[in-house]
Amino acid sequence: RCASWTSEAPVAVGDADQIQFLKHSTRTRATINCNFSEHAPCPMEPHHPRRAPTAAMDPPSPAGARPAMSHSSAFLLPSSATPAASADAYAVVVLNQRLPRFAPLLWDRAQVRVCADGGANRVFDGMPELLPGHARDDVRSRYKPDVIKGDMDSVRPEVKEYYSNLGTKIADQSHDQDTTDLHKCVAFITDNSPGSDKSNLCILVLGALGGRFDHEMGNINVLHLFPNIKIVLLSDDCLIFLLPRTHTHSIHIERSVEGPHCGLIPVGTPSTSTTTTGLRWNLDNTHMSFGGLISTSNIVDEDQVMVTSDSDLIWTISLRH
Amino acid sequence: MRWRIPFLAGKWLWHIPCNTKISGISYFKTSVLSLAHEQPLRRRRGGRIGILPPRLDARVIRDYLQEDKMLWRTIRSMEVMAHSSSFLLPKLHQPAKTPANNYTLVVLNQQLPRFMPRLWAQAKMRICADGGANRIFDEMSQMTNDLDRNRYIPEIVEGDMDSIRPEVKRFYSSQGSKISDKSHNQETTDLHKCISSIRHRTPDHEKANLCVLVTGALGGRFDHEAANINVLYVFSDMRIVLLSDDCLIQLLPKTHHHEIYIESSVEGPHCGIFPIGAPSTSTTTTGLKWNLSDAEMRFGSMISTSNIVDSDKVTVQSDADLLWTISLRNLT
Repeated sequence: RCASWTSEAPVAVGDADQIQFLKHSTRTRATINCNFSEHAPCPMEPHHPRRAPTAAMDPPSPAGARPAMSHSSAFLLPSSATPAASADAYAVVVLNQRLPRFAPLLWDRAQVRVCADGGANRVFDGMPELLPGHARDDVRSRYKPDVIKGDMDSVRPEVKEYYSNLGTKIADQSHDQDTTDLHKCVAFITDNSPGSDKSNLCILVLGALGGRFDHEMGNINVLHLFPNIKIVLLSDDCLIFLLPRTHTHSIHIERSVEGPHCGLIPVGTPSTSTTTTGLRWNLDNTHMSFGGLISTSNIVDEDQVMVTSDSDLIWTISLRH
Repeated sequence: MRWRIPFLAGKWLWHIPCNTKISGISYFKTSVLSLAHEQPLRRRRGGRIGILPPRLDARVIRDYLQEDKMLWRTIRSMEVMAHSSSFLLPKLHQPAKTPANNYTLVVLNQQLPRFMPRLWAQAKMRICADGGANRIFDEMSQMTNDLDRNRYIPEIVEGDMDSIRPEVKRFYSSQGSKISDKSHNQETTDLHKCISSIRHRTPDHEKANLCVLVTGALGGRFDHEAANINVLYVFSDMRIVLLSDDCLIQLLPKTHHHEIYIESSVEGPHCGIFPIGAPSTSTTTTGLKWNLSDAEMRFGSMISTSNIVDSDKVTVQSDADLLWTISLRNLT
């Protein structure tokens, strides 16, 4: 360990909203006083920049205070643990990959369930496997999608017919080859959700990660195309969502279901300045880019993580088994 | 920086400075430009005959180039980088002259792809990154129906050793694998350590032919996947290919004009191009079903996904580093 690593109270310099930003951090931020020319490299977090620290926060951007956006993974908690009246309206979108093990939990919690094309196959085959104690037909009729949407080139004919007979709406969009299946589903959900205020809506997407890389990138691009809608991509191992640069972010960590490994990734545009609190290796006005530093294999140290950045970032956190 | 190359055939050759911008095209360290023009001989200090270099800046260069259209066309077409996935072909079908045959295989800690036995057999060197050794130990014999673990011994097991099981480490160590314990270095991922030691180990004259295939870099935890993709960017002058059951990805650096030869028996037709690090203001492709023509690509706007290869050769030229991906057919 670096001998000169010290732990001091954070020095807050700046206007009111900057101070508020720091107040949330209950743990003091260490001031890093390493000079790498003097001794062996510190075993700091992977990809941490070797730079002289700034003890004070830089002045806020001239654009002024950004609105706050809060995030929570409460939807992953078992149904007994969540509060009775949840503000969020959930929608579930299932893409064409193996269902994660918590798919039934999310399905139960959602108000709208959409299968994107081959996702219907996955629900048809996968839900009975995840609930082996129940009769197959019972499971399939209980876990019936509201809509099957997409270009219909992957969904099996018998699956389509089965759900169609149960009342599922089949929205064939094979004429539209310009957008991905996920894009179509997100557009459908936002068009059909009640009220003009989408801030309560949270779209949970299963099967967006892994598999073909161009599909994964297309799905991540959908996060960038709808920055004002909360869309969470989930897999067995992790979840990801976008932190748009237009807001300061407050991420509430549900320690029983997620963490400790996390990361912040500047997909698409480098970030000249990102600041965080609540992580083991926080960023302080740090420059992040592919080819340089990106924050991976970080650890959440507190229940609340705050992030401010000048570019859109992807937040990722591992899920516990 | 400028260097002067000795007098050749009556003309002086100049290296253009590293980041001269000419009409929006930037040239970076790896691409070398030669500007040939005639100069009168002048005397330098010390009496040696030499050249007093003209003040070369972008405007001067452009003026010279415009006088010589041939040279301009030569400079516009940057150095070509050829790509081929012939390493995926079965041995009998390998073309006679393939630089990609000489590859190093790095195995990361995810389930092995179906075609692992083929990759293993044809590799020049095999490195297991930490938990990748567990994967070879557990899964290889199932894939090959060969219970003899001694046949699948990596040359090197490298990494921070926090995932590899003790009995696996003992087994490979006893079978002659070099165990390279890098646990003191917590700053970089296992893949980063493997790539930098491969690079360190390769003599300079062989560096251009170096090709590294990596399995297990995609899928799993997203931050691991992003870190592995970042390794492609950090070592952008090396050919590194990340492979999974479904696809392969590799970096197309902006410094080169790329020619990708498609082996349609093993890959395609779905492909894509992504400006992950930074947006691209101008990308041009040929050989795809939906080609790009001086197109702008950006996350939050247009990126090329679910494209289709339409020809045996795809060319890509861009002003940003791009990630190329192509789907793999059902290989075993």
